[in-house]
Amino acid sequence: MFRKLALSDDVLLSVEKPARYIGNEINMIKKDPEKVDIRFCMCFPDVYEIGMSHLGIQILYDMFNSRDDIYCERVYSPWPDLDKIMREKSLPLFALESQDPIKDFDFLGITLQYEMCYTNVLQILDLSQIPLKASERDGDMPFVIGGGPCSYNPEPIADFFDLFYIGEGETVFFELMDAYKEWKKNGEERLDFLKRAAKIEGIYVPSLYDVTYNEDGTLKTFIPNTKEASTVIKKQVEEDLTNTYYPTKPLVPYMKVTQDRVVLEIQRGCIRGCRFCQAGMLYRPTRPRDVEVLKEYAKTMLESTGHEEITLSSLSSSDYEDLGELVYYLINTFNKKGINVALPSLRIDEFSLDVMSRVQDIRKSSLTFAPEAGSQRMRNVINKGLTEQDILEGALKAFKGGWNRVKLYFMLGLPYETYDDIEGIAKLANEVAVTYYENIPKEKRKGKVQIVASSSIFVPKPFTPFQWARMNSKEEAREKRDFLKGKVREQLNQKSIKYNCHDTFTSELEGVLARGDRRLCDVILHAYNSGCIFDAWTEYFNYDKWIEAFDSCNLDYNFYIDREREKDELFPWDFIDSGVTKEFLWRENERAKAEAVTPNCRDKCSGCGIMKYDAKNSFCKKWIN
Amino acid sequence: MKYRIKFFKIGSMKFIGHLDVMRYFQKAFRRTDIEVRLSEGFSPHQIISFASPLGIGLMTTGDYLDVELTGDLETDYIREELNAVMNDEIGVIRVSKLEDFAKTSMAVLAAADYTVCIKPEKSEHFGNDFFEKLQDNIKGYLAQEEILVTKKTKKSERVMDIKDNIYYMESNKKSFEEKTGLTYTDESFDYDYYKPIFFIRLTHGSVLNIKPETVIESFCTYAGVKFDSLFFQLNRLEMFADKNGEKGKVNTMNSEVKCELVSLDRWQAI
Ligand code: SF4
Repeated sequence: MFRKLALSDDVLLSVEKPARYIGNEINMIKKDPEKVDIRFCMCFPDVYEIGMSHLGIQILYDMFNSRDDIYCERVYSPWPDLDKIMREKSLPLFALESQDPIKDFDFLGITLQYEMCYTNVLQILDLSQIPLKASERDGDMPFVIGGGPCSYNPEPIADFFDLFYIGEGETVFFELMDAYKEWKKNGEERLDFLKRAAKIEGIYVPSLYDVTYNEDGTLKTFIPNTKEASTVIKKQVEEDLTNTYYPTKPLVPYMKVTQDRVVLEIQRGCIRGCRFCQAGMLYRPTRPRDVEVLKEYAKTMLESTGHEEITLSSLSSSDYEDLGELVYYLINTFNKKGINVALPSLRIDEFSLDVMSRVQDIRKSSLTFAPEAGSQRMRNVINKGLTEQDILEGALKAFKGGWNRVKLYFMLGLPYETYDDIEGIAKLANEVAVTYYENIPKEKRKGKVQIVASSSIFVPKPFTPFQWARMNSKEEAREKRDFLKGKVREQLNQKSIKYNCHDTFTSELEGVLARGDRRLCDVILHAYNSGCIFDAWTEYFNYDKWIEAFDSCNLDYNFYIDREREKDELFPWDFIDSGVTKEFLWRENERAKAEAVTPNCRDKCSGCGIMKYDAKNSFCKKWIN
Repeated sequence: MKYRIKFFKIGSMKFIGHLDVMRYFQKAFRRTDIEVRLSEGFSPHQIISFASPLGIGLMTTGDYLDVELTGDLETDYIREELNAVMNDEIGVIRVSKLEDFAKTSMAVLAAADYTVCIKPEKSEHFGNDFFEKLQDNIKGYLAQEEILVTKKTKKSERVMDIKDNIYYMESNKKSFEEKTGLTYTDESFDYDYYKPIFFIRLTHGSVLNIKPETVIESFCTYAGVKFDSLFFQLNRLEMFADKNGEKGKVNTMNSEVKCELVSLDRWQAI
């Protein structure tokens, strides 16, 4: 008998890429669902190719399945073509492994990697035939649990989740699973499980809190309505990154996915402290993995997957202290077997140019710099420790080594930004071109230097020093973009510079959702009901429908972005203790205003508060006296 | 060393497209310690080539790929190593060693055999009458003066006679095997679920390629039943080279030079 599939041949043959829905990938875990106590379905609410590329899910998939009493399966968002068919025929959404309906599972875990996936969360619930609001779910329905970076402000989607897991998944999930088994054994009510869960550190149960607002719309109070729920939810941190779960047999998809390679997470956290960067604050403390263990993982994972490429993942790979040793090991061991070592963007110096020249075709590859801002003044404001000199010297070395393509990444709409700072972007791009033409003699040039400058719109995020900041409206952002376009055209070497800019509509909505409160749940629900899904995909994003949703919910969209917040405003996410204190963030915001640079954690500890976690090998260690 | 690998791809794997099957085998080899020869250049790739892509929705219990290995290995060893790292719906049936001069299976491919089944959930579209008259209809269909079909390419549409390109067409496997003189390696195909209506051998190569769907459609028209490709499940049974084959020419059983077909893994000296 052939393996049974949830969808019929007719359906599968009428949609684009049916391989998205059949599972049975290499290294897929097979268990008998009858023989486990807990069925957990892990979801990445975007299309298969994106979801399958996410390391976090693979880690948790591996972790959950390491227990015999749990069967963890997966689901991704059905693409709009299948979405339509499933609605017409009321086909329930299913997990890839067993092809069983998700509504029969015990848990549905959804990872929240970006705000623009919120309507896709509703799509998943809806197609699974699970009531969208947690309050409407009865005893048999799975518990829906959210996690990932966006759960650090879960309030805009609080109504749709039974629970949130705040922090890194490696720590208390099993505690939660055991509590579930207890609860099931005792045959208690749904609410009883939520209360049990609330007692576990790091678990947030939104329905156990009451929220009130001030007249001006800001948050007034946020208090537990039952004794089991704690006032503060503490972020979970894996304190020993070297000795924890790592998927040494990751799934190997059939179709080409975004990350079609072995991914080695070399380090978690970042020592840099860029003030705009949420990940840099959330994933503190910075914890490197042991290099010998990583070498072992690389070997095992290449063998177990057959991938032809391996890459490193971290927020700032150049800060990983054993990078040289690791990279040369990978190149020397695997390159001759035809396995490509794909480098993440590294600080441009002798080392990185050397390794790049070994693993890439210089003529086809480009150098990447992320100055983020155009002027030194502005880079001080955002605490980006990359100087014009660093860039030009790095570029010069690379040009001499034969490169002639440069990518530069910037942000527009940063706090305290002036038009001079923006013009600085054009000037900096020009300076890079000048460096090329002045130093590379004509006969050695391989054509023009190609500079691509890209800018995205800055979105203030919770738990960053800029969480108080006003965000630029899309009109302002467009004006800045047009101004910058003009300035690029004024440069002497404008013919060598190409300028790209991100969409302003989506950034604005992302800004609203990022720092939103519980009242946004209705807006999201309304937008979803009017047909919004795949908002992260420009071809599906519908701005007008969102505006209409705000109007019908009588909520002011601009309230969330178009104002500078007061120092002591109570934020919807303040109940979460991320380890980095609000005082530190405020101090950093003040320093930003003063254009003062804060040293990185290798040079000096700035007392962010994260030291209360006793993480092994962390960069904080050397500052404990 | 050159090897030819006969493989099956069944069940849910019928939804995996040809490019993905190529990637699947590349990765499978890298999961073993069998070393595939790499091409020269900055981004070397494994030297693997397939006889013919299989469309999405079709199964196969007799497709082929050619691969060049750096070492000289036992064919059984290669099969076992690969099967140990593959899933149960795509796997290796047989490995055979090729002479260095052997042309690729793609180059020598001349014909292919297929099982044609009606999906059980679609049998209602046919009615008892169809099944009762099946054998007679096949006879009648093949006895026609000519069998005209419209062959569509990207640029043009032309009507052609494919009578000579249908080498065999039998309503049951036994008589098909008698005619072709072969025993098929189709144990993995689910005959309990899919009931075959006929087995066919068709011209299949770079010069002329007769798709089984084309024949099924024309047969349905002859038998007076509605055709929809979703009604049928196809399985490719075997692929052949023509001993008398010549580049750019198609030999049939009725042509001046007659075709002499041998399974791809039983023949290499063309
Ligand atoms: S405690 Fe000090 S060293 Fe550690 S992350 Fe915070 S600022 Fe950096």
